[in-house]
Amino acid sequence: MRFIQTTLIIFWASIVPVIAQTTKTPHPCVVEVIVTTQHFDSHVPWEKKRPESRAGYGVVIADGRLLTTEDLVRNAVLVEIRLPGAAAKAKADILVADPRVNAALLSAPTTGLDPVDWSATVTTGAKIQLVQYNEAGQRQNGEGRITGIEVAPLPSIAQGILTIQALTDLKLERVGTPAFHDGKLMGIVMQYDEGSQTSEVLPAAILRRFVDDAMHPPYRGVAVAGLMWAPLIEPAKREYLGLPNNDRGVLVLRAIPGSATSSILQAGDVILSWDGQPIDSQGYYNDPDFGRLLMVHQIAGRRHPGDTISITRWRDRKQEDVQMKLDAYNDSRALVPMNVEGRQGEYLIEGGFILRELSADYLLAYGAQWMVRANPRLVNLYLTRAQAPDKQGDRIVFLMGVLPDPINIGYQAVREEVISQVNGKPISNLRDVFDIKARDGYISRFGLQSSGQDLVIDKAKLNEANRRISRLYRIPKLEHRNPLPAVGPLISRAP
Amino acid sequence: MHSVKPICSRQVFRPAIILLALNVMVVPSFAGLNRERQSVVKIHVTIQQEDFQQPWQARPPGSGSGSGFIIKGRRIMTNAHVVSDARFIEVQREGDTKRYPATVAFIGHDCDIAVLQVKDDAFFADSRPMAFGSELPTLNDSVLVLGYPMGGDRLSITKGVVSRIDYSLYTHSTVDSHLIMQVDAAINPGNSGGPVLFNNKVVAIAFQGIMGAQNLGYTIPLPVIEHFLKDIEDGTYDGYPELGVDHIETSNPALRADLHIPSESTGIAVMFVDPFGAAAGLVKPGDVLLSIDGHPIAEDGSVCLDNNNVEYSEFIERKQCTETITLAVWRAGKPENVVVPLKRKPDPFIFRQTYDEKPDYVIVGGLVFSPLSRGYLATLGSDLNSPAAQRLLYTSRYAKRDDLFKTRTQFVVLTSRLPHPINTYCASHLNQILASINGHPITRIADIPVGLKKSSGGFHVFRFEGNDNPLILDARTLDHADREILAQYSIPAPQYLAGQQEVPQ
Repeated sequence: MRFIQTTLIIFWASIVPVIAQTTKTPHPCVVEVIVTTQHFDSHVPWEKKRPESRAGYGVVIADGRLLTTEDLVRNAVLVEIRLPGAAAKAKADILVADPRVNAALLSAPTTGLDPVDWSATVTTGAKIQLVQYNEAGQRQNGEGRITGIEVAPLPSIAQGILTIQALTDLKLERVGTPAFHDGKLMGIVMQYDEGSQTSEVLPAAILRRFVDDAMHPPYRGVAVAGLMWAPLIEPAKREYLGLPNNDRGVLVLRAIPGSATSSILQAGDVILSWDGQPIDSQGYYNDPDFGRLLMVHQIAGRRHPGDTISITRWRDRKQEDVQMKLDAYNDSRALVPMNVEGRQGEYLIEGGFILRELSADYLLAYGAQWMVRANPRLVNLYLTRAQAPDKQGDRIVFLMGVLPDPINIGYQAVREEVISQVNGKPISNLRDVFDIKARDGYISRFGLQSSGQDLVIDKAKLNEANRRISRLYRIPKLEHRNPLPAVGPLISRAP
Repeated sequence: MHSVKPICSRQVFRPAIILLALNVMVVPSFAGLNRERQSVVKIHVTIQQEDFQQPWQARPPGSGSGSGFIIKGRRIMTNAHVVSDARFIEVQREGDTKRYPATVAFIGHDCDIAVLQVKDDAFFADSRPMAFGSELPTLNDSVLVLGYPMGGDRLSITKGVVSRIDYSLYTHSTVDSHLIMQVDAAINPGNSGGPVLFNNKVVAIAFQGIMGAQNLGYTIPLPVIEHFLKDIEDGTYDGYPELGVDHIETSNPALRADLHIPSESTGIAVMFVDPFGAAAGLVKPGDVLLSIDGHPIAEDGSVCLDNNNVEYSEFIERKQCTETITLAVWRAGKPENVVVPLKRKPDPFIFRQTYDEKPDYVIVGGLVFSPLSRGYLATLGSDLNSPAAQRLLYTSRYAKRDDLFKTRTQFVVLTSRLPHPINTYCASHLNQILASINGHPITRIADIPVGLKKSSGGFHVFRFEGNDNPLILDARTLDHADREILAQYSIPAPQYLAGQQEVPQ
């Protein structure tokens, strides 16, 4: 199983004096993007964390349109741009930001700036040039060499995407640094590792597709196959499946329930070819532009949601050609949504009981050791069933904790328990809880999973307690309804 | 030194069994304690713990020391953790140059007490057994702690007061909680097993501390010692009975109203009944426990006993496995008396730390399978923060609550792979729970040989919980590969299953 580990190396704008290598006028297509962000607190869903400010670069790709990385503008409350070294700032708007490609299209005044030219396909070993600016606005030119082109996980999400690794001689200070090949944009830097002096560059091949999609609403997003697969190298396993020992084909582990794939592929199938290309036993194909790449790129980097691809599958020792329609990833279908973009979680606080729906950001907020530190049952639900709800719309509703108040005496130590019933009615998600509250006017009975006795609070005293809790704990709203949009995880506003 | 890492959240170190520097400590003269001093012995042990990663062999032997004291019947009382996994035990009296070999007569891992015997009568010459007090000291009473802690070779005596009497976790087994007596006398590694004296009588045994805390030593108080001594009277140690009831307090008026508890009664509401506890089938969720053996249970679960508020479970603590306990239960709007015969059922899903037991294992094609155990989880360390190991952690905590145990008696885990051409590509299933072999469900480790009896068309198909990627071994070359692997990796036997004969290579 290819478990894509996400390593998160973020570099914020740090004020480090650097000696300018050359002092020239700013490159006409590059601007500084200054972002004020304010993240929601995954563990205190009614509160936001302290605003932070950080800066990166944006590249002008058309009149009034800028391109940068999505993680730079995630949870932005204010986005501003300025010419390197200039004092004047202008406000920018996010048009489309998609965490599944880590790219964002901004709208901002770009008078006097020329749009970049896109570079054609680059190859390993090619020389690239990087441009960054110091605090004084002096331009620093760096040189780099492409050391690898492969499908790699994005910095903050287990989405594999075509990524270019480059060894660079400039210490990169900011995210979004543009990289050029022969004066044309070949990619933007997503992360930089100072130890190995290696940059991870989001290539033009991916960025151009994103821009194309984002400039022509409605935004369609990245296509996904909804599939988990494993290499099929073991000679014994190949023989057991009746396959020839010819280094061809990967094993399907799971098709995400409800996805288009689930009607075409099932656990135990072998994929021999994928979108018309033969697949080797490790899941690679021969890409016409970039050579040997993981099959993930055929979907994420070459197709769109709604496209149909042809597959050669091996099932019951028979080879068949089948067609499959691609989807966009849809977080709202998950039992445990990813919430990569850090949206404010839904919650309901009733008599001090904080009810929420489980999402990955809640667990990840426990830090690097989250699998050990968070409640084992909640972690297990995420790790084993995140994409496998029993039925559409199912979520894990859990009691995050109890805000101590006279109404909930005796229950104040209860936390991180899965809630299966409220007011004696089974629930599948927080919407059910909201509905029951709307109908009954209160929630006074909480049924915990694998417990035969409900926790009960006094409904006659509930209104008064809710007011007191809201005032005492300074919670402006005791409930927040914000169901996930059906379109998937992205910010999209009409340009 | 034992290096067992508790996987519970509380960090407790086990102040035992450390051989230390040769600083000679000046022992203050406690003239009045001469007799007692002569009965406090130093225990030298050579221990060898099991190697849960390579279960066919033990870890390298190590040495350590603890304390103990002579009790009547020519025996020595100490902590279970001082002599657990011991290969060789010697005892030495204060001022005596000679060490005498000793053996374990009784050991209670759940209460961390052991009794040793010494064959050579010369050891006991001129000794007088230490007497036990008749009741526990109360808070702020002065006590003395005797033993052989780090920092010197000779007897050390420290003085302090009783700071707290509470119900707390005993880290030796990692899951059991009993009464503890906290003292502020210095208790350090090596003190383990030493007596705590009040008016020159033993009222407790020093046994654990909390890392980083100061002036805080935990001791095993008289009631737990008495329970142990009574338990072994019949020649075997049975251990504490387990009631197996999880409750919530009924201090919330709405809950009381919901359960229709009459206003003059108090009690606790049952949330979950452990299927392996004594109360299984007799008490059910939603019941309210009103009293225990006639003593009313307060709404927070405490019972007033000798003018002290103690946990209601203290009543079970004081009973032996053969006895019964009577619970007054409020059920369906009326009171009922429920008589619970106390017992200790074998419970494979409590995942108590085990000692002096060889771990079961089976090696097939270089794949090492063992039942899930706390000992194995403890070896994972930072590897616990991975999806497969997290499932083991979850399983160990929620096996009963989430009904994971129902179809099995053990969770069989692929603990390691001994690389060999037959298993070159089998590395990705590490730490996963084996579900079936050739379609034969694996409910315990002894099912593995059964599942391997008939191959699936020349292949052995191993399936794991929550993984659709089977592991496949070529059955035709397996026997040959097994022989090669055992020889190459110097493994004496392809399997060890407790209660079954070892298969010699």
